[in-house]
This record gives sequence, C-alpha cells and structure tokens, in this order.
Amino acid sequence: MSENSNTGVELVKTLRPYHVWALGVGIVLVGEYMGWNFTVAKGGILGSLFALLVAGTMYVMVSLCASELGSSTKLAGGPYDWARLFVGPGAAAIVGLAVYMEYIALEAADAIVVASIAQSIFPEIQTFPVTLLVIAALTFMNYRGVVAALNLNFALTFTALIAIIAFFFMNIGGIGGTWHPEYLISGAIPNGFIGVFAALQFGPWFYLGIEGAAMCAEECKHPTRAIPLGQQAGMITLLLGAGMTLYVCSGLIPTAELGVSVYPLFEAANQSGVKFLVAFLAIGTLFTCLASANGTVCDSSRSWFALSRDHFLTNWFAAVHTKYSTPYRAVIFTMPIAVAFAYSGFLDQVITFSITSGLVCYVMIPFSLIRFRKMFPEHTQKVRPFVGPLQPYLAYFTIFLAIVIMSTLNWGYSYNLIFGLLFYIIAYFYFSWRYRSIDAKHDWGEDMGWPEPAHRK
Amino acid sequence: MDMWTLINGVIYLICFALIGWMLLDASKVSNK
Repeated sequence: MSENSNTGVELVKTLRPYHVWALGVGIVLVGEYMGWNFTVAKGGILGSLFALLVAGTMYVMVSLCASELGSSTKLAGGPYDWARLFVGPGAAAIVGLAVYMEYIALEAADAIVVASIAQSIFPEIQTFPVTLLVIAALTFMNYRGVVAALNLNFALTFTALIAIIAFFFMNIGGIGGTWHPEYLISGAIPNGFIGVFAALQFGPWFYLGIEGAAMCAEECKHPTRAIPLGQQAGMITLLLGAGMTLYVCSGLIPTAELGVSVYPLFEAANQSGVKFLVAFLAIGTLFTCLASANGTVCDSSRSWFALSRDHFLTNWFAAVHTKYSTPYRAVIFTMPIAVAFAYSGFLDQVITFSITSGLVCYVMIPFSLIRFRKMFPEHTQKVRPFVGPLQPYLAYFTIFLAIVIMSTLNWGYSYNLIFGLLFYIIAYFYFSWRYRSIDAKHDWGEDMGWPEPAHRK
Repeated sequence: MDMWTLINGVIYLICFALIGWMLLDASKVSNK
C-alpha cells in the first residue's frame, strides 16, 4: 500500500442535526440501560441522584463548550483539534489519544454486553465469536459510509429511547408495575455521606461520550447549526432519560438488588410483570449496545484520523476512501484494538479506563474553550457562530467538577486511576518529542480564514 | 458435530468474511 495515498480526498459533508443527535445519544444511552446503577451500590438512591445531578451539570457545561468549539472549528478530530488549535501539541495528542481510548474501550464493553445478552438467551453460544461479530459488523458499516452508519444509529437509538419513555409513562400511569416508595426510604443512604460522594465515580455512566456528537462536524452539511442543535438536544434527551430511568428502577427494584444488577432497566421491566415491557426493554438493551458501539467506531476512527493527519502518527492512517469518503484505514484500525480490549473480558476494568480517559477530556475541553476565548475574543459569525452563555466561568467550573469526579475513582479503582494518568503522562512526552521532529508548522488561523489571534497583535 | 458448534463456526466465518472484504477493498483502494 502506498504511503499517503488518497490523502487529498475530503470527508463527505452530508450529516444533519438528527445525525449529530443520534451519534451523541447513541453512544451514551447504553449508560441508562446499565452501569449507572453502580452509583446505587456506593451511595444508595440519594447517592445516585447526587451523581446524576453533579455529572449532569458537568456534562451540560461540557456540551456547551463542545458546541461552541465544534461549530467554530468544524473539524473531524473534535476535542483533539480544539486542544491542538488553542492549547498545544502535547495536550492535543493526549486528548486525541484519550478520546480514542475512551471510545474504543466503550466499544469493547458494548460488544461484551451484546455477547452476554446473546449467551443469556442461547446458553450454548460462545461469547467471543459474538463479540467479534459485533465489532467486525459495525466496523464494516462505518467503513462503507458514515451516513448509513448514523442512519442505523438513529433507528436503534430512537427505539431504545422510546422503550424508556414508554416504561416511564406506563409506570406512572399504573399499568407498568407497582412502584414501591418504601424502597427509596430503606435504601436512601446506606453508606453515609462518604458513600454519596463515592457514588460520583459512576455518575459519568449516565452521559459518558456525549461530547463525541461534535466530532462529526467536518461531515455536517451545516455544522454551525447542526452541532449546537444536535449536541444540546442530545444532552436534554439524556437528562430526561436519566431521570426517568432512576425513577422507575428505584421504585421497582429493592436497592440492594439494584446496585448489583447487570441490566437494571430490563430487570425493572421483569419486576413490572408486563410482558410487552419485558420484550421492549430487552430489545432496547440490545439496540442501545449496538448503537453505542456503532457511534464509538465512528468517533474513535475520526480521532485517530485527526492524529494521523497532523503527523503525530504515521500519515498512512490519514487516507480517505475514494468511493465511500471515510477514513478507511483509521476505521479498520479500531478493530484489532477493540478486539484486544474485549478479549480481556473484564467489563468494569475496561469501562473504568474509558471513564478515566473521558475525564481527561473533560478537563481539556473547557481548558481549550478558555484559551479559545482568550485568543479570539471576537464574537463574529466567522469565528464563533455559536456563543455559549456565562463562558469562560462555566469552563472553569467544569474543570473543577471533572477533577472532583476523577478523585472519587480513588474509592475502588485507585490503581486504574494511577495507571490511566501515567499512560497519558508518558503519551504527553512521546507526542511532544514527536512534534519537535515534524518540520511542517500549521498556520491554522490562516487556514480557517480567521482574524489574527489576540496574542499576536 | 452438534448444531451449536456449527452456529459458532458460522459466526466466525461471517466475521472473517467481513474482515477479509474490508482488507481486500482497502488494499485495492490504496493501490489505485
């Protein structure tokens, strides 16, 4: 294969706001179906509610930062490109790698869960071939074209979301099982206030990956409109979905069981005894895992593509398919890494690495925005088509919340946290060294037709 | 050979077919 072939071909610009919504919500909605309930094991129902609100606040602010940065830069690398443009090469490479690892680990986790579901239905089936099939099939979809992949995501995500909404309204309407208020009282705060605080470490499950919605900016037809609209609509959807999920599950499943459940929404449907809901939530669980894995292939490949395009990695990965207009080598390369993660089979370890990587991004995204506002204070349509409210103060608060949540990983996952941070520190030094060996310096402000940055005037 | 061994084998075959198709196509596009 020849070096740098097809690098002149551009990504196709066809995506609309609902694709952005589908990409963001599709990746995250799996967190409403499973995983969030570990907050209950740590801090009870109050701990879970606290984690939902604190993590929700952080993600709303991250989304506002991502909307402003994504609609301004309109580049495929998302957080990576923002850090590269406004912070520096070492920070950018860390973010690019963190985004890549966050989504690849999430893809592996989703594939493991789909295989577990398949095995619970057909006990004779082996989990590894199913895991491999999920990863290979979704890589194939993304290889063939982003529109087809995101249309599939839209259908899967919408069905999974409707399942949650139907469950919630049937429950409050009295036909979706008996809701037990006594479960709330008995399991409100089992491990005291330390437990409530420790529950924060699993709070990101409700929303993990929503910032990825902005990563398809380069493939949007009208990115200045599609990114803020799709991203904010996605965040509102997730906040409502998280509230509904916590409400139905906390009243249908005793707290002790809810904290250790693998599929809490599906189990809550089982408790309701309504066959329609059991079937609907089972389909929703399966669909949401597939949608999440599908979205993560899309996002992780774009991050790898962006790293490669800027020579942090070999330029070989920056090739674009002449027929499908996808970064096909970067897409294919997601597969062996995801299979390696999935082969380990340790779901909680894989997910904790994903959360650590995500939190690294949640420190760097608002920091990029602070720098962006300093370097380009003009609120012109050209520089900043979407202006977020109360910035950069919200960005400072986001960094504070991300560090607080990261510190709570110390309860139970201290080695993962230390290993994760060490990994990114080593990556920082490697990429900084690699950047120094690159001859070409990007004059990105000029590339985008923006005015001179404030610090150069 | 029982039915489930066959099904597991077929799943592996589908995986390898998908991966093989992508690699072949990628090498074709790269050589253009």
